[in-house]
Amino acid sequence: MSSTVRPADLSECEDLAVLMDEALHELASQRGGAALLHSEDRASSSIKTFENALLDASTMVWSGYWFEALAGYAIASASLDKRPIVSLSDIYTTPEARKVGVGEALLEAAISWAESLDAEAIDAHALPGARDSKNLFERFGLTARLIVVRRDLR
Amino acid sequence: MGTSKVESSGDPVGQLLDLFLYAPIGLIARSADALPEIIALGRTRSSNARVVGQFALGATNAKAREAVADAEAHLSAFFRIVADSASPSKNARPTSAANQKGSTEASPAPKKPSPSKPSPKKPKKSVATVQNAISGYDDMTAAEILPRLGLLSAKQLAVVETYEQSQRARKTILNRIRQLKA
Repeated sequence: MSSTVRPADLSECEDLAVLMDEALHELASQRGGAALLHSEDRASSSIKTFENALLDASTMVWSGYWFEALAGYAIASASLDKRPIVSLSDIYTTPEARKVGVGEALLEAAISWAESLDAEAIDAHALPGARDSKNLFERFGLTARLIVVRRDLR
Repeated sequence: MGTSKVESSGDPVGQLLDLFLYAPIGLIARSADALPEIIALGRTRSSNARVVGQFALGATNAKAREAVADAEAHLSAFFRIVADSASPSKNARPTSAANQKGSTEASPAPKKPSPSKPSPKKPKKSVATVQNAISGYDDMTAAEILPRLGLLSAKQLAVVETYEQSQRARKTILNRIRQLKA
């Protein structure tokens, strides 16, 4: 199989940060992306985000590989409830590694982790124009439960 | 006017007689009179032709010699560049004694191969070298390139990395190269 996923470790932070920078850049250019980035509480740098996530016991980071090349990542956190809700904050694959199974493998890993925690549910989000992301989520049974609306006042 | 002009008869039979009877007779009579003159003319023309032929032959030989000298100069320049690329410390511009005569022709010779060194634009050179590393690189998808990266030497990886950065900058490929270089 050309696509594989494994839990990330600290040695991959630098490479993962490159992907995250690309992901954020891509996100910012999409409708609603800037507002989403503004609302998220992210660390000062992508490397720091990964370091924090990897050192946090309630957070998991996965690296997606395609032909042994790092081609994507996912970050999910679990709430501290008895039956937690797992929230998939990031899932990203490089443009050339889309529709080749890396995203599916990452989402599968996140769902498996949530199941292993006996989680109540897994949440994720997608921007209005992110058709591929929405399709991916729907294929795995993640359906819209809340539509966030906004009107810019400035 | 009157000596050379023949009064041709008006009727067709007379014209035929002029053409096929009187003209040949006149020509033979004249040839017999002018024979020594014709022979002298022939000698002169043939000796002129011989001179022209010799001149042409000499000129051709000279051209051939020039062409050979030119080719030698080109070859020596080519070998010098090959030798230089093998040992970069070499910078002397050898002047072969055999090419002294053709040195004026030889002077453009180093110019001919040298453009292939500094003047080609970097992308062209990169294309050539990246093609040496992975043949058909530009037409390949990332999925085709990735498995081949593991087969490359460190030097080839560096070439591919530079090229990829200057072209499509696919993160997946660059990540894999970084992994392999580590």
